[in-house]
Amino acid sequence: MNASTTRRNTVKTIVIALGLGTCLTALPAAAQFPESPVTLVLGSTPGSAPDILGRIVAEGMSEVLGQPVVVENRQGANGSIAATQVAQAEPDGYSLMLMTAVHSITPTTRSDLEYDFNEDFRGVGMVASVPLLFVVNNELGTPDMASFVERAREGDIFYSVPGIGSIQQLATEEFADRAGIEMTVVPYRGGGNATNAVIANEVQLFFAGIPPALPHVESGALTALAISTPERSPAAPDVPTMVELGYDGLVADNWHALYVRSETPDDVVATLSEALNTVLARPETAEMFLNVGATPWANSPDEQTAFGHGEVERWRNVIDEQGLTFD
Amino acid sequence: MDILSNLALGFQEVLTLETLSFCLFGVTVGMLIGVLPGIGAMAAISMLLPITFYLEPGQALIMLAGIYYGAQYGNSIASILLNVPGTPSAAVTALDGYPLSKLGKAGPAIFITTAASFAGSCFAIVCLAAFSPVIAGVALAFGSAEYFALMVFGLVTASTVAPGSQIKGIAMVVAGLILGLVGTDITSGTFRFTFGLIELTDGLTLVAVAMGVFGATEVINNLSRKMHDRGAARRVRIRELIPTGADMKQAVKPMMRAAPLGTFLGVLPGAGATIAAFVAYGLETRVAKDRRRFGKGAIEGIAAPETANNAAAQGSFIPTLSLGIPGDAVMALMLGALLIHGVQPGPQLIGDHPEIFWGLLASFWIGNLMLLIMNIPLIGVWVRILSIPYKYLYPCVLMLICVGVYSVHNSGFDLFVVVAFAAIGYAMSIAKLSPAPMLLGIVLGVMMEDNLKRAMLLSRGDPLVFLERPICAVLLGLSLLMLIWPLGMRLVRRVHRSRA
Repeated sequence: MNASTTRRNTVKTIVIALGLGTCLTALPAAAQFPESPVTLVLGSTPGSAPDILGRIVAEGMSEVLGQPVVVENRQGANGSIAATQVAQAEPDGYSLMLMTAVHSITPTTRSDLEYDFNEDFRGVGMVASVPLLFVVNNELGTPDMASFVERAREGDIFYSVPGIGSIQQLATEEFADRAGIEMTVVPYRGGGNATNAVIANEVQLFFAGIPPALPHVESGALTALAISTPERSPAAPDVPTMVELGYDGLVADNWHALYVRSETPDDVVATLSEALNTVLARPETAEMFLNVGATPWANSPDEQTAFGHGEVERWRNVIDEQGLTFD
Repeated sequence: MDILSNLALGFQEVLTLETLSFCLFGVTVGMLIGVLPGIGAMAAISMLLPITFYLEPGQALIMLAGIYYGAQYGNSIASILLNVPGTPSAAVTALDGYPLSKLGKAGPAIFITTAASFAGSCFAIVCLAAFSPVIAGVALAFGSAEYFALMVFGLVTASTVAPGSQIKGIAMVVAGLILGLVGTDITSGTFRFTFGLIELTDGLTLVAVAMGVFGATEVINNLSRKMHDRGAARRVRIRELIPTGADMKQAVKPMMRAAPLGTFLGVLPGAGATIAAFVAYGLETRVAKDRRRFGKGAIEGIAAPETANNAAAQGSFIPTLSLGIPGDAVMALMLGALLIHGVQPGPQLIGDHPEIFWGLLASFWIGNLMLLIMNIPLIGVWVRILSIPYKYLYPCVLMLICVGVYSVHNSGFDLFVVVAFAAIGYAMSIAKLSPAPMLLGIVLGVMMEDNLKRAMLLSRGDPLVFLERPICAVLLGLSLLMLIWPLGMRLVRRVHRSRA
């Protein structure tokens, strides 16, 4: 055999292999989904709350689906790099996206998104809600919401946010408007730095995640005045909701949910939804979620899709009413 | 003695076969990953996170922490041998480490790095064991104004780090500051200099820039030189692997200066560990009799930054564990590993879970000892990498750079950043401009601007805030001193000479 035939054979093998590969990927419905690894894309750094929740769910779903579910971090631009990537992937259910509340805010705050949240995606199901604690520094001397609002009327209250256009900023603005007070926003990069600022009393107020804030509430450095979810959290059962305190409809649910492209076939979505809900129903999942400050929350694909549309609507209204601008 | 009984508890935790093997696994994986250009601890730790669901929280933390400091150690080996630092602090080690390696002293350089890392860690561990509750308070005493002053101090030091003219050093810091402007403005959310590229909205990926201006530039530089395969021609003898007594003596004082410095700076979340190596190096160039030796293979130039950066690495665990506030993504991952098990880092951690805290401290010491024992015999293996002919070595290095850079953000765009900065880095090397201050400029520039803006917001636009706060005023004063020192020294010398 001379060199040229060897080369020709190699080329032939490659062509056949490529052809076979194309055929296999072109026939998704023929076999049982999933028959290869599934990617779970998320838009934040390793170690962030969405990342940890995503990895817990991915680990469980790998086992249920019988195929590895691989987490891929594509942080940047408030999660929109990740969403763009999934919006451009094949609508075959192999690219999952972990959306969070911020994805229902960016459609209003950003004019340059390369995808349409409502049109390009459909829900697979809710994963969890991460309640936010309305914490103030103890040196302010306001043990409850009424005294805080009174103190805030005198002015000179700074509040931290993990970034401009974050759910924390919108919720605080909405709260200030309802309570009739004015406060100054001080932006930090990331929730850790923003939490640190309120502990160090550089700012007086922050809508913090439960795990970083709770130990400081217990140590007495911070006071938790309210929680942002519709119901109280089992992680902080003594903290009243904003609704209980008379701020009707003031809910900032930092939700985390799985989405796929809207053209994904129904049976694939059903398989994914079933696997997700199996994982969420396990007590060990619930325990791990609770430990990282999240509340498990399961629903159906259609419920999730409708919920997402509602959230976009809700934050658009808040932004319009508060007259916030972001460029 | 409280500390002794606490440490005894810690060692009791660690000295079981199971925990020791997790520690060994961690430092080995970390070291191997660190040696590969561009691949950081983060990739390894995030992949291993699901495994920790099934481990004891203390063991999980010991393993992940081992990866963290093991990787940092491994990265200095790569910086010395191949000039491919993955972090700004490793870039400082490369300043003198790589010239040493070119002089045929790679073995001694790695030996000193190993010893310095061990010494730095040991010092930090003792400090942490004795003063950890106090240290946590230091982290909180640093507000936005103090951070701004610290960044100024770090940048002034960085400009003096450049070998050769200080003007060029300052120019590179400024270049770094300008590159740091790319991204999102913190107070308004406006995109700056992103040219419509969504990938640039969070700024340039630091590892990509570092790999461009160091690793890839180095490859081009060697191509443009006469291709001589020194590979097989040189065989390294065992005696050449070990530093001479004079070398070791030269390294001792810098280590003693750098260890406290690194420990202190490491405690400040986020910024400290990066600045530590630069400040330690800058300090050495200041106290040295002949600062021209730096950048050409000065032993102090590797001993000081390595000690400082390892001390800082251990120090950075304090705010993470005792405040529950992670300084960076790697620390956030480790927090996550604890949280999942219901162990809540925060002020109560040491009281509620003494076995985890003291066990971790003890594991630092054991892990560092493992690195030391493992690496003395390994030095011969590492040095042999240099005997691989360039035509095989460099394609491998380039490929590993690509894999490493891609793995940071799973982003193909970052590979183009490497290409662009390889071109820029080559131009810089022709103009004899040092890339290390530029890297620090990129990192610190962003933080400096953020903190300046915040401090001004909080003071309602009153710039006097920077002078009213004592820590802040001292840091700014020191920065000024650093800047005028060379001028002052020259004056003193002139007066001296005219008298003589």
